[in-house]
Amino acid sequence: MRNNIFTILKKELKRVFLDKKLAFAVFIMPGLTIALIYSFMGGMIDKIGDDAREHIPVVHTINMPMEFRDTASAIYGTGMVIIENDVTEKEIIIQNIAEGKADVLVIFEGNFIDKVKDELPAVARYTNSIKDFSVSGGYMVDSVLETMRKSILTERLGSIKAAEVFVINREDVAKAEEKAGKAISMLLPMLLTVFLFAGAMQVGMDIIAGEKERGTIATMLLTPVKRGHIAIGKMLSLAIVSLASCLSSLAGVIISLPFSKTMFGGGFNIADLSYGVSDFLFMVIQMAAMALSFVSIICLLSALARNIKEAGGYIMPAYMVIMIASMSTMFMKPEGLWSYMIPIYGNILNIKDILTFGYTHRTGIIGLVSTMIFAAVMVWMMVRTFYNERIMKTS
Amino acid sequence: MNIAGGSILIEVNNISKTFKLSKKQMALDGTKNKFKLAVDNVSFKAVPGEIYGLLGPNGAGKTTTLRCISTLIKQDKGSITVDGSDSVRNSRDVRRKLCLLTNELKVDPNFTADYLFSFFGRLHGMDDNVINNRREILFNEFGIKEFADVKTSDMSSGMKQKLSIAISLVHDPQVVIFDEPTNGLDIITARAVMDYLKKLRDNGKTVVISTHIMTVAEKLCDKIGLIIEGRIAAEGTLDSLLEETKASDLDDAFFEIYKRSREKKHEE
Repeated sequence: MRNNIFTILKKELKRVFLDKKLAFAVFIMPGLTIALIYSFMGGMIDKIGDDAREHIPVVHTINMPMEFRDTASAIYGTGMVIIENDVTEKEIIIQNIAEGKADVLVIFEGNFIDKVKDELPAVARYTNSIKDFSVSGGYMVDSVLETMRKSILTERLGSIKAAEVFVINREDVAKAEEKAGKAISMLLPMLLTVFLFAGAMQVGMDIIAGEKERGTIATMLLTPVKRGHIAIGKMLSLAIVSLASCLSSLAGVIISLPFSKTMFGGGFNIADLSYGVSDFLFMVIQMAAMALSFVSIICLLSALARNIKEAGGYIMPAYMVIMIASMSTMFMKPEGLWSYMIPIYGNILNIKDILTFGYTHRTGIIGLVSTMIFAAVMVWMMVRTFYNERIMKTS
Repeated sequence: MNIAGGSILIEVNNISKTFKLSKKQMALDGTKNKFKLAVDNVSFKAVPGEIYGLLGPNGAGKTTTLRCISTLIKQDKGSITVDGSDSVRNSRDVRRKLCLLTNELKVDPNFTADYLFSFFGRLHGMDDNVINNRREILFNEFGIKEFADVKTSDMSSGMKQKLSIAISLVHDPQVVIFDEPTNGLDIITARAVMDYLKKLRDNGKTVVISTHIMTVAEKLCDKIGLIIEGRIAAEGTLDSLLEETKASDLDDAFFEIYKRSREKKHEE
């Protein structure tokens, strides 16, 4: 029995590895593409931030008190251009901000400093929320106004202490590795899940539906090998392909990290990601369980289809469901142990726990057992389809 | 008549097979009946050293009968035994003893002839030495040696057909079943296949073929079963069929039997 499964598994793997184009598409391309795309995207996000920081905002003002200019120049020096305008120019400036030609407009009430003494004068600030330079200029203006406010209060009350009630010292007790883990765990579990499914989907449609379409599966069904063994041999080979393809994608993510960490939330140091061998081992075990479930779903749907096109039509909705399940872990927290009992979803939660250094063997085993039960049911159904002569039409 | 005088190797007993039709198939057949009786109470026996031919028009039930014998599908009624093994209860034993050749069987385009031959040999539980011996014999027989290392996607359809036959025969089966052996083959390959089937018969194998071509049946078959609308309408040697119908050739004999069969069905 084992011999037959192994013979079929070897043949299916040989098919992928012998076909240079397919091997490149399955094992090299995902990692390469991800490394390039993520590095590019990370670079672009960084560039947007850098550009905003380097940009000197042009701040138009109406009725500007001298205190504003002095405070701005004390904080930003030459890093902010302040232009005084007449109230009649207001509409033109607002139009310019809308068109991205100007960054910020600040309108003070007339005699602002005098009114501050016994009135509550207003300051109107105009920015364009869809223009990055306008938004960052707006923050700079806020900072100048806040400093100005404190300065006026200090002057009014005699000391800064009189203006403040208490001081908040914010301390973060999270370890650097935990912070880095949290950042990386936001996207990575979702990406790994999608990579696993996508890696299996590409070859999986061909491995059964393709053989049915080409008429090559009948030759195999005419051998004394049990149909169940044919199905399992094909499925196991696909699980290996899926896992290898996913690891290639993971390598792509790791290679891109120095350039793409902003995409994963930023604010962490890659050197702080100090995962041990056991962390990687537990992660691969959870991924292997997911790979088995995915290939069993793909093989079952592929066996039900008459050709590759039909298989694609059946598999795509399953892919969508898996994507939604994996995305939901980005925003939802596990609500007790039962969350880990949901097949596949439990594995994604466990991977997230491993990445955030919060993994426990209890949840790990629960996730594995539930997914393996699910996979076993799928495999049983797939094997049944191999015995169904209406589904497994051989000509 | 038992030409070779050997023991019965294939025994088909009153098998019937009904297919459920899709709406598309119902429309094509012009019927409102969801079910089609493809094989209706068919029985025959084939012995070693004999070529048994199922002769009939397209859609008569020849292929379905052969697919039941080769365990690709199960009959609804009746039984089939191949060298004593029941096709339903011991289907794997049956598959060890026979091979099915058909133009529908394709070879995987991603591999070489050599690899596929070894692969199917292993699936039949053969060890490498036995596979190599069989490869030597069959690759020489069908002239595959020169393209043994060529990927099947780069082969001509004739080469693929030869390889498909060699692969099916890898385990040296006692029973060879061939569905429409000359269909789609050029005249030279068709002749080579027919000669090879005769050789198998002479070596004591039991050969069962299906065909709708009268000349193939005339030249090849020791015993002919005329199958019409899922039923065996007549059975015998070429001479006995000609004698029974007073016809001069198989073509005329077939139409005489076809006419009688229609009349009988009409009476029923």
